[in-house]
Amino acid sequence: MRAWLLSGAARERFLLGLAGGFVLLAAAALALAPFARADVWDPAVAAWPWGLALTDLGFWAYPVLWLLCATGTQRLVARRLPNHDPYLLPIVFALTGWGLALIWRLAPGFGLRQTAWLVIATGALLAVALLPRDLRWLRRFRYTWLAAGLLLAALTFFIGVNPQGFGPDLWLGAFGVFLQPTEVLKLLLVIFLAAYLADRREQLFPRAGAAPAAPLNPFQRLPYFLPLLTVWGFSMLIVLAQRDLGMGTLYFAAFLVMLYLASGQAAYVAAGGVLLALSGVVGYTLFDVVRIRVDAWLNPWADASGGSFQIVQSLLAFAAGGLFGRGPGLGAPSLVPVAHSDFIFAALAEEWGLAGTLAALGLLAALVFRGLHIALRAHGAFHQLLAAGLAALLGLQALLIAGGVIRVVPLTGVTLPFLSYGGSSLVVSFVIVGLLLKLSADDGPRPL
Amino acid sequence: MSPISTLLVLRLALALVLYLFLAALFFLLWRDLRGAARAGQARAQRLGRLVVLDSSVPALPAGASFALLPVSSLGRAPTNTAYLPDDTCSLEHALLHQRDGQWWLEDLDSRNGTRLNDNAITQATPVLPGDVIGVGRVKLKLELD
Repeated sequence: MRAWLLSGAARERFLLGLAGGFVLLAAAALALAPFARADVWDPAVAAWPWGLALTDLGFWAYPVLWLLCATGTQRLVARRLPNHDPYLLPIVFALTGWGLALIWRLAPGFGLRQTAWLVIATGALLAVALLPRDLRWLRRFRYTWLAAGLLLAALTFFIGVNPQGFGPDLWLGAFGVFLQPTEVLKLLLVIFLAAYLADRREQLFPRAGAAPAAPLNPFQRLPYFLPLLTVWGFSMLIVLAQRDLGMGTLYFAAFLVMLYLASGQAAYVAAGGVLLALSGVVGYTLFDVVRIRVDAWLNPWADASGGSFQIVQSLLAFAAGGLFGRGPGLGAPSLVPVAHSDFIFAALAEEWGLAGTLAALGLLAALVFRGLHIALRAHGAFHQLLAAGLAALLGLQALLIAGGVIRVVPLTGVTLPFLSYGGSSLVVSFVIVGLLLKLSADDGPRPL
Repeated sequence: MSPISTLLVLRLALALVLYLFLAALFFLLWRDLRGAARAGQARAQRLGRLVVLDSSVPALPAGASFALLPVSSLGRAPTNTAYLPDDTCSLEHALLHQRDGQWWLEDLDSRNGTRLNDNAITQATPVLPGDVIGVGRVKLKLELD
């Protein structure tokens, strides 16, 4: 017992092996599902209720490509960053493989696309984690990065499109590839906040008893808060003008978490909570978008076939799933509109049951835990704030959408990290993991 | 075997592998945490601590303790190992450090001086467990395990 799996690399390989077994079995179960629905072994009789064909080479390519991405990443990262956190990669690849199985089941037309995005995201992760330089370039050019992110997001006002053909124009498209700039902006915003707060922590939040680096009167400290508030205000303006409630809430919550981490004062979080509630009330009276969401949250049954159709179908999917679920490919989760994107948690609940949802939440919780653990061990304020902020970003996003689909909080459309369909979301999530890997392998300032 | 029962076997295997993964993950995380906690405890116990005896400072109740570092500083500045928020202490008042397993006390040219068992010290002086260090009007006892 004592000597079992002591080295980080051994633990990582063992967990990744289990994840690989799970993903391959899930793919096999998905291929078997049409036969089980008809209960005959005859491929001609077995109906293909959701348009997945066993002759589709793309379907068979997904477990193979997943396996290549997972083992390749593990090997490269183990060679270049020997001290990296051994739990991040198994968790992330288990979730991603599970997400691919769900997407192939819910919307086979998007399956190959998401598999391609996984390859791109793996490349992005490796690029971030294996860059020979340390992360100073992120800190030094923080205004440049953020300005680029804001510019990209602002471009959607002029040349924005929506791949679905309707709904808000949140994407930039070229040659059939779509990018959601607000996803990139959320990452750049956390990087900026970490860099700014690390540099200005003494002036923003003077410690009692220490020689004051700035006036103690909060109003005289306002100039130090101004860049922070301006940048954050611009980001909020862009997402709110686009009626992207999910991203707006996420930016706001991430901002509060970063302020709390830097100051250690719960008063900021309390004030932010009051502000959020106030803006909810104001939004409810002024904007239809907010009113529909809040009404559907308070009483979805009042308009079950109209404004709250999606949330009602999601609740029914949870009820149909029960403890152990219908089984992969055996439920009817397509009744929830766009189940492969924001509502993937409802599809997971229907086909994998409570057992599946708890496992998914457990994996996400372990991921956030490791992120905070990396933050505790990181060297320097910037690295600590960055690791904690990135972990909080993933956790908050998962809470926001998982809570939304089970009607714990009002529904706001964000993706469930690693599981939902969406290229920008997957790439940004993988870049976050790459940054966390890099931060976890940092042994501190090297001697000259 | 019919397709339905084949799929059932697959589903059981899936559940088994998924929860095996989770169980292994959480077991390893727990083992890591326990190991880190033990290492931290052992380090803190090896070095001992300073315990506040009766003092008239409200911020320092009797019985409060400071874990010692190999080189520990005492004083009014919050950066000290033993942060003593009292007007009778200098910002950097005294230094308590370990050399070859022996603790030494040194006064850092403080305004009110440093005492060891009520005798003012002028140079680095060896300290034994149970000795009382006087910093301003604060009294601290050295305790080793």
